[in-house]
Amino acid sequence: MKNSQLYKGSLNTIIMKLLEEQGRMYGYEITQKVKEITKGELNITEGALYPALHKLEAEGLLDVEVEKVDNRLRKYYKLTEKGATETVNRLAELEEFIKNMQTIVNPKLSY
Amino acid sequence: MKLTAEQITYIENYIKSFDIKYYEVYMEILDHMILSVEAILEENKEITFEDAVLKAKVEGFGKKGFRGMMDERLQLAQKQARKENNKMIKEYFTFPKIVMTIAVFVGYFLFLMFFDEPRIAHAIISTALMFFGFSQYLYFKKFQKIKNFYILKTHMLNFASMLLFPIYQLSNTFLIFGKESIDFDHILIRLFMTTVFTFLLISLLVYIEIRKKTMEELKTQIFV
Repeated sequence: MKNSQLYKGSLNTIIMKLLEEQGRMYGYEITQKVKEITKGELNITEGALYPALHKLEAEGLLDVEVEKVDNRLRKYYKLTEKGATETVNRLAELEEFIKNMQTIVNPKLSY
Repeated sequence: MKLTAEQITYIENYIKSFDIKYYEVYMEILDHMILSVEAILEENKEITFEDAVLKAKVEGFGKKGFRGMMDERLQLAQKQARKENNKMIKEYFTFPKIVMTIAVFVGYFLFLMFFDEPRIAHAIISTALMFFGFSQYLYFKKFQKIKNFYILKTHMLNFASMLLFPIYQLSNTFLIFGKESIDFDHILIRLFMTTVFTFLLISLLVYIEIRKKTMEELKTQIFV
Protein backbone atom coordinates (compact mmCIF):
# COMPACT_ATOMS: atom_id res chain seq x y z
CA MET A 1 0.00 0.00 0.00
CA LYS A 2 1.47 3.36 -0.98
CA ASN A 3 -0.09 5.48 1.76
CA SER A 4 -1.85 3.37 4.35
CA GLN A 5 -3.15 6.43 6.23
CA LEU A 6 -5.39 7.34 3.30
CA TYR A 7 -7.08 3.94 3.36
CA LYS A 8 -7.19 3.44 7.12
CA GLY A 9 -10.52 5.18 7.70
CA SER A 10 -12.19 3.19 4.94
CA LEU A 11 -11.05 -0.30 5.97
CA ASN A 12 -14.33 -1.27 7.62
CA THR A 13 -16.32 -0.07 4.63
CA ILE A 14 -14.06 -2.03 2.26
CA ILE A 15 -14.59 -5.20 4.30
CA MET A 16 -18.35 -4.70 4.47
CA LYS A 17 -18.59 -3.98 0.74
CA LEU A 18 -16.70 -7.21 -0.04
CA LEU A 19 -18.91 -9.24 2.27
CA GLU A 20 -21.99 -7.69 0.70
CA GLU A 21 -20.80 -8.93 -2.70
CA GLN A 22 -19.35 -12.29 -1.71
CA GLY A 23 -21.80 -13.38 0.98
CA ARG A 24 -19.21 -14.78 3.38
CA MET A 25 -15.43 -14.73 3.48
CA TYR A 26 -12.56 -15.72 5.76
CA GLY A 27 -9.70 -13.41 6.76
CA TYR A 28 -7.07 -14.58 4.31
CA GLU A 29 -9.61 -14.54 1.47
CA ILE A 30 -10.41 -10.87 2.20
CA THR A 31 -6.74 -9.83 2.03
CA GLN A 32 -6.31 -11.68 -1.27
CA LYS A 33 -9.50 -10.32 -2.79
CA VAL A 34 -8.50 -6.72 -1.99
CA LYS A 35 -5.05 -7.33 -3.48
CA GLU A 36 -6.63 -8.82 -6.61
CA ILE A 37 -9.20 -6.04 -7.14
CA THR A 38 -6.64 -3.25 -6.63
CA LYS A 39 -4.00 -5.14 -8.66
CA GLY A 40 -1.66 -5.22 -5.68
CA GLU A 41 -1.98 -1.49 -4.90
CA LEU A 42 -3.81 -2.04 -1.64
CA ASN A 43 -2.40 -4.64 0.72
CA ILE A 44 -4.38 -5.12 3.92
CA THR A 45 -2.17 -6.58 6.63
CA GLU A 46 -3.50 -9.15 9.04
CA GLY A 47 -2.55 -6.83 11.88
CA ALA A 48 -5.11 -4.34 10.59
CA LEU A 49 -7.68 -6.74 9.17
CA TYR A 50 -8.42 -8.92 12.20
CA PRO A 51 -8.94 -6.11 14.74
CA ALA A 52 -11.34 -4.53 12.22
CA LEU A 53 -13.23 -7.82 11.73
CA HIS A 54 -13.44 -8.45 15.47
CA LYS A 55 -14.69 -4.92 16.10
CA LEU A 56 -17.39 -5.25 13.45
CA GLU A 57 -18.37 -8.59 14.96
CA ALA A 58 -18.59 -7.05 18.44
CA GLU A 59 -20.77 -4.25 17.08
CA GLY A 60 -23.19 -6.85 15.74
CA LEU A 61 -22.51 -5.93 12.11
CA LEU A 62 -20.89 -9.28 11.31
CA ASP A 63 -21.84 -12.81 12.13
CA VAL A 64 -19.47 -15.79 12.11
CA GLU A 65 -19.68 -19.34 10.82
CA VAL A 66 -16.97 -21.86 11.66
CA GLU A 67 -16.27 -24.82 9.40
CA LYS A 68 -13.77 -27.63 9.47
CA VAL A 69 -11.50 -27.38 6.41
CA ASP A 70 -8.46 -29.66 5.92
CA ASN A 71 -8.78 -30.82 9.51
CA ARG A 72 -8.61 -27.30 10.97
CA LEU A 73 -11.21 -24.70 11.81
CA ARG A 74 -11.91 -21.81 9.46
CA LYS A 75 -13.84 -18.75 10.55
CA TYR A 76 -16.09 -17.18 7.95
CA TYR A 77 -17.52 -13.70 8.36
CA LYS A 78 -20.82 -12.52 6.90
CA LEU A 79 -22.99 -9.45 7.27
CA THR A 80 -25.86 -9.46 9.72
CA GLU A 81 -29.12 -7.72 8.83
CA LYS A 82 -27.92 -4.68 10.77
CA GLY A 83 -24.58 -4.95 8.96
CA ALA A 84 -26.25 -4.99 5.53
CA THR A 85 -28.13 -1.78 6.31
CA GLU A 86 -25.00 -0.19 7.75
CA THR A 87 -23.04 -1.12 4.60
CA VAL A 88 -25.45 0.90 2.44
CA ASN A 89 -25.08 3.90 4.76
CA ARG A 90 -21.29 3.67 4.93
CA LEU A 91 -20.94 3.28 1.17
CA ALA A 92 -23.09 6.37 0.64
CA GLU A 93 -20.87 8.25 3.13
CA LEU A 94 -17.74 7.03 1.36
CA GLU A 95 -19.06 8.10 -2.04
CA GLU A 96 -19.86 11.51 -0.64
CA PHE A 97 -16.35 11.70 0.80
CA ILE A 98 -14.78 10.75 -2.55
CA LYS A 99 -16.91 13.38 -4.32
CA ASN A 100 -15.82 16.05 -1.85
CA MET A 101 -12.17 15.05 -2.18
CA GLN A 102 -12.53 15.19 -5.93
CA THR A 103 -13.89 18.74 -5.66
CA ILE A 104 -10.97 19.78 -3.50
CA VAL A 105 -8.19 18.01 -5.38
CA ASN A 106 -9.41 18.58 -8.91
CA PRO A 107 -12.16 21.24 -9.01
CA LYS A 108 -12.35 21.26 -12.83
CA LEU A 109 -13.36 17.60 -12.98
CA SER A 110 -16.17 18.02 -10.49
CA TYR A 111 -18.22 20.27 -12.81
CA MET B 1 1.11 -25.99 -2.69
CA LYS B 2 -0.43 -27.90 0.21
CA LEU B 3 1.65 -28.17 3.36
CA THR B 4 2.54 -31.55 4.85
CA ALA B 5 1.36 -32.66 8.29
CA GLU B 6 4.90 -32.04 9.66
CA GLN B 7 4.96 -28.52 8.26
CA ILE B 8 1.57 -27.77 9.81
CA THR B 9 2.82 -29.09 13.15
CA TYR B 10 5.82 -26.75 12.81
CA ILE B 11 3.50 -23.78 12.27
CA GLU B 12 1.30 -24.86 15.21
CA ASN B 13 4.34 -24.99 17.51
CA TYR B 14 5.64 -21.71 16.12
CA ILE B 15 2.35 -19.95 16.98
CA LYS B 16 2.23 -21.61 20.43
CA SER B 17 5.74 -20.29 21.17
CA PHE B 18 4.25 -16.78 21.28
CA ASP B 19 2.20 -17.72 24.35
CA ILE B 20 -1.18 -17.47 22.66
CA LYS B 21 -3.68 -18.33 25.40
CA TYR B 22 -7.01 -18.34 23.62
CA TYR B 23 -8.24 -20.97 21.19
CA GLU B 24 -10.34 -18.57 19.10
CA VAL B 25 -7.23 -16.45 18.40
CA TYR B 26 -5.03 -19.49 17.80
CA MET B 27 -7.34 -21.15 15.27
CA GLU B 28 -7.73 -17.94 13.25
CA ILE B 29 -3.97 -17.29 13.17
CA LEU B 30 -3.26 -20.93 12.31
CA ASP B 31 -5.59 -20.98 9.30
CA HIS B 32 -4.23 -17.66 8.08
CA MET B 33 -0.58 -18.66 8.53
CA ILE B 34 -1.04 -21.98 6.71
CA LEU B 35 -2.70 -20.25 3.73
CA SER B 36 -0.05 -17.47 3.69
CA VAL B 37 2.87 -19.91 3.83
CA GLU B 38 1.33 -22.03 1.07
CA ALA B 39 1.01 -18.92 -1.13
CA ILE B 40 4.57 -17.74 -0.37
CA LEU B 41 6.02 -21.16 -1.24
CA GLU B 42 3.96 -21.22 -4.43
CA GLU B 43 5.20 -17.78 -5.52
CA ASN B 44 8.82 -18.25 -4.55
CA LYS B 45 10.29 -21.69 -5.18
CA GLU B 46 13.71 -20.65 -3.83
CA ILE B 47 12.56 -19.79 -0.31
CA THR B 48 12.86 -22.36 2.48
CA PHE B 49 9.78 -23.40 4.46
CA GLU B 50 11.13 -21.86 7.70
CA ASP B 51 11.79 -18.53 5.96
CA ALA B 52 8.30 -18.61 4.45
CA VAL B 53 6.81 -18.98 7.94
CA LEU B 54 8.86 -16.04 9.19
CA LYS B 55 7.92 -13.93 6.16
CA ALA B 56 4.21 -14.72 6.61
CA LYS B 57 4.40 -13.65 10.25
CA VAL B 58 6.46 -10.48 9.81
CA GLU B 59 4.73 -9.19 6.69
CA GLY B 60 1.24 -10.02 7.84
CA PHE B 61 1.13 -9.44 11.57
CA GLY B 62 3.68 -6.62 11.72
CA LYS B 63 5.34 -5.21 14.82
CA LYS B 64 2.57 -6.18 17.24
CA GLY B 65 2.64 -9.79 16.04
CA PHE B 66 0.37 -12.57 17.26
CA ARG B 67 0.38 -11.22 20.83
CA GLY B 68 -0.92 -7.91 19.58
CA MET B 69 -3.84 -9.67 17.96
CA MET B 70 -4.53 -11.65 21.14
CA ASP B 71 -4.40 -8.55 23.37
CA GLU B 72 -6.74 -6.69 21.05
CA ARG B 73 -9.16 -9.64 20.95
CA LEU B 74 -9.09 -9.98 24.75
CA GLN B 75 -9.79 -6.28 25.33
CA LEU B 76 -12.66 -6.33 22.89
CA ALA B 77 -14.13 -9.51 24.43
CA GLN B 78 -13.94 -8.02 27.94
CA LYS B 79 -15.64 -4.84 26.79
CA GLN B 80 -18.32 -6.82 25.00
CA ALA B 81 -18.93 -9.13 27.99
CA ARG B 82 -19.27 -6.17 30.34
CA LYS B 83 -21.64 -4.42 27.94
CA GLU B 84 -23.81 -7.50 27.48
CA ASN B 85 -23.92 -8.18 31.21
CA ASN B 86 -24.97 -4.59 31.99
CA LYS B 87 -27.57 -4.64 29.22
CA MET B 88 -29.15 -7.84 30.57
CA ILE B 89 -29.23 -6.49 34.13
CA LYS B 90 -30.86 -3.27 32.89
CA GLU B 91 -33.60 -5.35 31.24
CA TYR B 92 -34.75 -6.43 34.70
CA PHE B 93 -35.44 -2.77 35.50
CA THR B 94 -37.37 -1.99 32.33
CA PHE B 95 -40.71 -3.28 31.06
CA PRO B 96 -41.66 -6.17 30.82
CA LYS B 97 -39.06 -7.80 33.12
CA ILE B 98 -39.45 -5.11 35.77
CA VAL B 99 -42.84 -6.66 36.58
CA MET B 100 -41.00 -9.83 37.63
CA THR B 101 -38.43 -7.81 39.60
CA ILE B 102 -41.20 -6.00 41.51
CA ALA B 103 -43.05 -9.28 42.12
CA VAL B 104 -39.88 -10.90 43.50
CA PHE B 105 -39.14 -7.87 45.67
CA VAL B 106 -42.63 -7.66 47.15
CA GLY B 107 -42.95 -11.45 47.43
CA TYR B 108 -39.66 -11.83 49.29
CA PHE B 109 -40.43 -8.92 51.59
CA LEU B 110 -43.75 -10.53 52.56
CA PHE B 111 -42.12 -13.96 52.77
CA LEU B 112 -39.61 -12.72 55.38
CA MET B 113 -42.52 -11.57 57.57
CA PHE B 114 -43.45 -15.20 58.20
CA PHE B 115 -40.22 -15.76 60.14
CA ASP B 116 -39.38 -14.85 63.70
CA GLU B 117 -35.71 -14.91 62.67
CA PRO B 118 -35.70 -13.39 59.15
CA ARG B 119 -31.89 -13.19 59.34
CA ILE B 120 -31.60 -17.02 59.42
CA ALA B 121 -34.16 -17.51 56.64
CA HIS B 122 -32.38 -14.95 54.49
CA ALA B 123 -28.96 -16.53 55.14
CA ILE B 124 -30.24 -20.01 54.18
CA ILE B 125 -31.97 -18.80 51.00
CA SER B 126 -29.11 -16.64 49.75
CA THR B 127 -26.61 -19.45 50.46
CA ALA B 128 -28.81 -21.89 48.52
CA LEU B 129 -28.82 -19.44 45.60
CA MET B 130 -25.04 -19.19 45.78
CA PHE B 131 -24.68 -22.98 45.76
CA PHE B 132 -26.90 -23.15 42.71
CA GLY B 133 -24.78 -20.45 41.03
CA PHE B 134 -21.61 -22.33 41.96
CA SER B 135 -22.95 -25.59 40.50
CA GLN B 136 -23.60 -23.73 37.24
CA TYR B 137 -20.03 -22.45 37.33
CA LEU B 138 -18.61 -25.93 37.97
CA TYR B 139 -20.63 -27.38 35.09
CA PHE B 140 -19.19 -24.76 32.79
CA LYS B 141 -15.61 -25.27 33.98
CA LYS B 142 -15.24 -28.35 31.75
CA PHE B 143 -15.77 -26.12 28.70
CA GLN B 144 -12.99 -23.74 29.70
CA LYS B 145 -10.13 -25.38 27.83
CA ILE B 146 -9.52 -27.10 24.53
CA LYS B 147 -6.13 -28.44 23.37
CA ASN B 148 -4.46 -26.60 26.28
CA PHE B 149 -5.93 -23.25 25.19
CA TYR B 150 -8.51 -21.26 27.10
CA ILE B 151 -11.78 -20.66 25.32
CA LEU B 152 -12.19 -16.91 25.26
CA LYS B 153 -15.99 -17.01 25.28
CA THR B 154 -16.06 -19.21 28.40
CA HIS B 155 -13.34 -17.16 30.05
CA MET B 156 -15.50 -14.05 29.65
CA LEU B 157 -18.29 -15.69 31.67
CA ASN B 158 -16.40 -14.56 34.76
CA PHE B 159 -17.77 -11.10 34.04
CA ALA B 160 -21.30 -12.41 34.18
CA SER B 161 -20.74 -13.95 37.60
CA MET B 162 -18.77 -11.06 39.08
CA LEU B 163 -21.80 -9.45 40.70
CA LEU B 164 -22.89 -12.62 42.51
CA PHE B 165 -20.03 -12.98 44.98
CA PRO B 166 -19.73 -9.36 46.20
CA ILE B 167 -23.49 -9.16 46.82
CA TYR B 168 -23.44 -12.44 48.72
CA GLN B 169 -20.36 -11.35 50.70
CA LEU B 170 -21.97 -8.03 51.59
CA SER B 171 -25.09 -9.77 52.75
CA ASN B 172 -23.12 -12.28 54.84
CA THR B 173 -20.93 -9.68 56.49
CA PHE B 174 -24.01 -7.73 57.43
CA LEU B 175 -25.78 -10.78 58.86
CA ILE B 176 -22.79 -12.01 60.85
CA PHE B 177 -21.47 -8.75 62.26
CA GLY B 178 -24.85 -7.21 62.89
CA LYS B 179 -26.11 -10.26 64.76
CA GLU B 180 -26.00 -8.59 68.20
CA SER B 181 -26.54 -4.95 67.37
CA ILE B 182 -29.12 -4.88 64.54
CA ASP B 183 -32.86 -5.26 64.92
CA PHE B 184 -33.66 -7.61 62.03
CA ASP B 185 -37.38 -7.02 62.45
CA HIS B 186 -36.98 -3.37 61.51
CA ILE B 187 -38.62 -2.54 58.18
CA LEU B 188 -35.43 -0.93 56.78
CA ILE B 189 -33.41 -4.05 57.54
CA ARG B 190 -36.07 -6.24 55.91
CA LEU B 191 -35.96 -3.94 52.88
CA PHE B 192 -32.18 -4.28 52.77
CA MET B 193 -32.36 -8.09 52.84
CA THR B 194 -35.05 -8.00 50.17
CA THR B 195 -32.90 -5.78 47.96
CA VAL B 196 -29.89 -8.08 48.40
CA PHE B 197 -31.98 -11.13 47.53
CA THR B 198 -33.48 -9.43 44.44
CA PHE B 199 -30.05 -8.42 43.12
CA LEU B 200 -28.66 -11.88 43.86
CA LEU B 201 -31.49 -13.52 41.95
CA ILE B 202 -31.16 -11.12 39.00
CA SER B 203 -27.38 -11.69 38.82
CA LEU B 204 -27.96 -15.44 38.87
CA LEU B 205 -30.62 -15.29 36.14
CA VAL B 206 -28.35 -13.13 33.97
CA TYR B 207 -25.48 -15.56 34.52
CA ILE B 208 -27.66 -18.52 33.48
CA GLU B 209 -28.93 -16.62 30.43
CA ILE B 210 -25.40 -15.71 29.28
CA ARG B 211 -24.21 -19.25 30.01
CA LYS B 212 -26.92 -20.70 27.75
CA LYS B 213 -26.10 -18.25 24.96
CA THR B 214 -22.38 -18.99 25.27
CA MET B 215 -23.06 -22.73 25.16
CA GLU B 216 -24.97 -22.32 21.88
CA GLU B 217 -22.09 -20.30 20.41
CA LEU B 218 -19.52 -22.88 21.52
CA LYS B 219 -21.42 -25.62 19.68
CA THR B 220 -21.22 -23.78 16.36
CA GLN B 221 -17.91 -21.96 16.72
CA ILE B 222 -15.57 -24.17 18.76
CA PHE B 223 -16.77 -27.76 19.03
CA VAL B 224 -17.50 -28.05 15.31
